Amino acid sequence: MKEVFVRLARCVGCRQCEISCALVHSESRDIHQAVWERPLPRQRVRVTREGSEYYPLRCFHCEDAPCIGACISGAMHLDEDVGTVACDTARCVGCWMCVMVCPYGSVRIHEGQKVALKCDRCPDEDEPACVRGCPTRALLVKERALVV
Amino acid sequence: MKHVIIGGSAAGMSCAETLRRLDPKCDITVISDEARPFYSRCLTSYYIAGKIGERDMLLRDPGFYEARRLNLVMGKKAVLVDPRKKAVVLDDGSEIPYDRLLLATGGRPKLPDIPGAGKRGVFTLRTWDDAVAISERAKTARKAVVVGGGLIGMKVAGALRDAGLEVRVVVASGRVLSQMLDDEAAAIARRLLEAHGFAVDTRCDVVEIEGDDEVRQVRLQDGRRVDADLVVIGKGVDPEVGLAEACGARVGRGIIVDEHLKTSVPDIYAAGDAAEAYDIAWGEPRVNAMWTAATSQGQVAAHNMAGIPTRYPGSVGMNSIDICGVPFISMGVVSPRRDRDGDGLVELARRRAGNWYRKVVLKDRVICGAVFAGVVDKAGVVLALIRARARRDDAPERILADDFTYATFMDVIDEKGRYFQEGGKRNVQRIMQGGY
Amino acid sequence: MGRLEGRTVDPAALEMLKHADEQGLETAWDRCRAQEPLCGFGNLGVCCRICLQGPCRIDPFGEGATRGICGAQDYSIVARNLIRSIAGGTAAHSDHGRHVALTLLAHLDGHAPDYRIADPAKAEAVARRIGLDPAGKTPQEITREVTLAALRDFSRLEEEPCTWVTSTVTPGMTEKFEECAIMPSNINGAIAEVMHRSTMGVDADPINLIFGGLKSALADYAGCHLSTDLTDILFGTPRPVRSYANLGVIDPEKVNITVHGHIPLLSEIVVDVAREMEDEARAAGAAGINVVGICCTANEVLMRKGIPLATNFIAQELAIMTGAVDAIIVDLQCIMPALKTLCECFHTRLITTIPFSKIPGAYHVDFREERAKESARRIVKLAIEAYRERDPAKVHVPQVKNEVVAGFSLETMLEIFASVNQEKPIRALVDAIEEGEIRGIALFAGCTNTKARHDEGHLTIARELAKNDVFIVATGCAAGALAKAGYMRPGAVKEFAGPGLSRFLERLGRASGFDGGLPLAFHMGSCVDNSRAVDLAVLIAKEMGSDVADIPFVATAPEAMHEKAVSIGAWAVTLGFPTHVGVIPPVYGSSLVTEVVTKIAEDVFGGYFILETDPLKAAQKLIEALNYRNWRRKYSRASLDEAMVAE
Ligand SMILES: Cc1cc2nc3c(=O)[nH]c(=O)nc-3n(C[C@H](O)[C@H](O)[C@H](O)COP(=O)(O)OP(=O)(O)OC[C@H]3O[C@@H](n4cnc5c(N)ncnc54)[C@H](O)[C@@H]3O)c2cc1C
Ligand code: SF4
Ligand code: SF4
Repeated sequence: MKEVFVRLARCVGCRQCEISCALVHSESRDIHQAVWERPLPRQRVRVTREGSEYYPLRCFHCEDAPCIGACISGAMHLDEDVGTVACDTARCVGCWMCVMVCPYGSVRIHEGQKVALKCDRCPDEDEPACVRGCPTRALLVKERALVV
Repeated sequence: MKHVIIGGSAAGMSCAETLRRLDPKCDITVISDEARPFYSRCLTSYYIAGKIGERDMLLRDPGFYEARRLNLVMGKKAVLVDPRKKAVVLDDGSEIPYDRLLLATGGRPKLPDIPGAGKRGVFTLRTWDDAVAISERAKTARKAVVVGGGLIGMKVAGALRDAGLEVRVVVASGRVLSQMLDDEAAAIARRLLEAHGFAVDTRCDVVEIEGDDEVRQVRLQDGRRVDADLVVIGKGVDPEVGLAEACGARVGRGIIVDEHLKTSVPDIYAAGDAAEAYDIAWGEPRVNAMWTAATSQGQVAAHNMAGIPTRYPGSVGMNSIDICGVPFISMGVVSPRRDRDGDGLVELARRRAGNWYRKVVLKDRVICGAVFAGVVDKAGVVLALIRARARRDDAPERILADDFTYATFMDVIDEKGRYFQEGGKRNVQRIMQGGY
Repeated sequence: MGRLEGRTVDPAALEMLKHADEQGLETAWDRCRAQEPLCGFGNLGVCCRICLQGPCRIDPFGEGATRGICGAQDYSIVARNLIRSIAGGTAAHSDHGRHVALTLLAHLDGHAPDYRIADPAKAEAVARRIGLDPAGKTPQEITREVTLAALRDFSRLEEEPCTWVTSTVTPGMTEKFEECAIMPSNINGAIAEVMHRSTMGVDADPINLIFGGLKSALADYAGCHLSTDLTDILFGTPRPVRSYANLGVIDPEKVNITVHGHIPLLSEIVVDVAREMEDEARAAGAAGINVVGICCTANEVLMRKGIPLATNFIAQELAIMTGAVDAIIVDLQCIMPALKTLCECFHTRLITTIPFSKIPGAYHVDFREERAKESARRIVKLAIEAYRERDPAKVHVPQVKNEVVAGFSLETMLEIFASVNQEKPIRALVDAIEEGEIRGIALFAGCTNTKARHDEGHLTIARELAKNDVFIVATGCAAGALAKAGYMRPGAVKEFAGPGLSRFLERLGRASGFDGGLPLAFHMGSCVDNSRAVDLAVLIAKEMGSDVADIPFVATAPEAMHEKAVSIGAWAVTLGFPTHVGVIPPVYGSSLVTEVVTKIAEDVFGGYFILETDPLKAAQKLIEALNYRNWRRKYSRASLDEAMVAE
């Protein structure tokens, strides 16, 4: 199973992963068009700073994901094929149970659509957009087994 | 190994699924007195509101049960558990033997004895059938009275309003959502409700439901009579402990379980709304009737039933509700009463423009509760802090200033976190986290 | 489309890209890949690095910061960044002009004996235009006065308009600039003002900022124009020349010297000196010396000396990769520092020549006007020396080149027009427009850019416009693209021109006796020589009794890259040209600024930006802009006639 890893020492806080994430979730996937889209494309990764380190925070796709257990509608589910925790927004009723239980603050409210918003690890891409976008390679995809 | 589960909802079904995952060979029987397959009880209010259809109520595909080889006994009530014979007796007289038994019987709405509560048009909401009945009535009804301002009361009130009814909420205590919110947050909620056209009466009760065989009016404590053609009573839920009591298990408010979710009777476990398990925030056993606790207790019980000793870390009572488009989340100890809840409790709160409100409650300088209104993002991080019971003196200020993320508290949050070294620096990797 | 095919449409460049790929040589395209994805904030112009509190960024998706630390909104940040890049371009163009002026002055003072006043007639014409009386003065005296007047445009302390603006546009345009308070009085001052008003805590009003930028843009225009004028005086006004373009002009038999950059002060001399040193080259075993050019230095020496053009900006490294370039002499602007590492893979000497434009590890031969020939000789010697070290095994020259007819200064154009209308040469063009024979005129300008497929924008738009009877003039690397592809050879008219345009060009060619026929696109020179295109437009406008904002004349920079392109684009819009840019400049971070430059500008100046990355769509939009202006002109003419009839 593939996993996204973070090499903290390499993150310079440029927030390109955020932009790449929003872009890949836009209609046009082109920065010069995406900024004109309404609703604006949303990003699922957020870069924060603690002390001298930057943290690109994204969903960890937990093995025993609290958000799945908390979801009252069945929207939040495990995509067994790729090992990701995915949200079927068509089913989501916006109760924010998942927001309440995610220990990493990885689920947010999509204000425009009133559904849960979280990393989907770019199911249609070879590589998640944040990883592809990271100019310092702080984010990378590896086989889970190789690292754990 | 024969596993029998009584109750096929959140706790029961997550137990069944987990058992199957842990042991592909065992026998699993799920008994439910409801005739419907596993559905989301929490969606019943959305169903009434017309936001959710039949299909989306169901939480599993039709083929799911067969694929997992779960024996479903539906529409039949378990009337007796015989711990000596290790068998469950059903209402049709049949017996189902078990090696390990889970009581996931959930709860039952409290029915205060209000004169006239038996009239047509008066409901409680617990099951899908209830929801069907209420929405049927809502098609013709125009004025609804919801008795009780708890989570279910509020959800029903919102749903009925969405369905086009005029809604009055009658709340016995001084504020809406009195269990979930503190005064300040409840005031925000109330203002929102009133601004959106709900009538809210606090410190008030319905003393009689009037009409011939159909409800016509309700009489309030203060003497007022208000028209109503639909009444929903939401005065809380009692754990369904009858079977447990009858077979000699220790029962408090709910079925008392140990840290492995075992009851006092051998080979009988309990989980979900029926169980009284450890509460982390309060530091004592409590019934935390919520979906998320039910699913994770179901999972933990399954491990123990399958012979994999697994400790239940405890739950934190919490809730999330959207009131007129504004999210509210609360968790743990919300509005402590010093006389009752002891010393060493400190409340810190901040109010900002709009509907933004936030509070943290500390016990001995460790966060044990929080309330969020308006902006609830990252509430889960605070929950994780509460669960970790770790002391971080900067936490209250940073939470109230909304200047925190998981990274702020990662060193105390992830007791299960694993890290790996690369380039001489500690790096976060994917972190395992148990359920709640 | 293959990976490499996606990078260029130039067959010579493609061949070299394949070669580079095989040899493991790095190109700008590879480095571009390494830069991807480009910083989203920078790309949209919402990164502010102006004060030390930052860098601040505005979240383009509205979730993070909406204002900088100082409270600057997206529009202030975008506008400040934009006008700073206009100031950058202005500094480049005008400083270039100032250097030419100083060299002229040094010559007049007797300190630069290797130069001469090559075109006294131009000096006289410029003098007349700027209101000096040349009567009874020697060419030296006239040139001195003109040069000093040019330098005054850099140093004027009074609030009076720059001579090189007022003397080159219509009175109506001058008035408009005064009215909008964007008329510069001093080029350096305009740049300083931009830097000042855009620094922390000064101007935050986006419209006001943009107007400040336009003032700098007009200063850029003045700088370009005086640069063209003075260079013509110093080296001669271009006359029609024939030459070749594309990498095939590199001759493996000869010592190849590439001149690259923008300011021809030394390159012109190198060309002369190389002719004198042929014997030395032969002594080293070469068949002679072959000077070729890249970027605008190439355009300068092509226009005046017929020196062949090797390639344009983005392909500069590919020239070195032929392994047959012995020395590349560079002056300033658009020189990739990457040349150094690349030259190390070959025997090629990289020689910098301007004191403030050096590259670590390169040879530096300081350009001094007093010893120009000596410097040039040293450079040619270095090249010959290098030639001896050339490794024949590494030589790989694509056999691709096209014939070019160049040298179309305004003076040359008017001479050609005069062949059909002796009295009023410009009428030839105006008549063709008015009769609908040609739809209008398009200026192709600007650079090449890895963001676009190399040359594709230039060629596609040129083809589309030619097909739709648009008369094409070109400068800079746009001209390089058209030259390399053969659009500047006479045969191209038959191939690409629509019926009206080809009739017009054939008639002109026949009448002027232009040997072999006229090219499809007219090479007007380097980037600063965009001023020649303005002169053409102003002449047409005057003839039509209007301003540039009313005539069917558009500009396009399909692959703009440099800050200079930003400043030229800005003045083109200010002067009234609908101006297409094929690479989105960093303005989309503010919808307000985008709106201003693409729409509102038209209400004020008549010109506006067309931001369109798709060449076919861009061509369509340019044609629509021309159609609209033709329609409007006819309409107002018709209503005028009507009014007269009624009277
Ligand atoms: C309207 C509504 C909204 C809610 N919203 C939320 C929410 O937003 N978030 C949240 O966390 N929680 C919410 N809850 C609470 C949540 O639904 C419960 O916590 C959860 O369903 C508990 O699951 P459980 O499996 O323990 O019990 P239950 O869901 O009550 O299931 C128990 C099952 O056992 C059956 N049963 C009982 N006794 C017997 C017997 N003797 N024989 C056979 N079968 C038996 C019952 O019929 C029932 O099907 C809501 C509840 C309601 C009613
Ligand atoms: S959203 Fe949060 S809880 Fe859910 S999988 Fe991602 S990190 Fe885990
Ligand atoms: S907000 Fe949506 S995804 Fe999250 S728990 Fe509720 S229904 Fe599930």
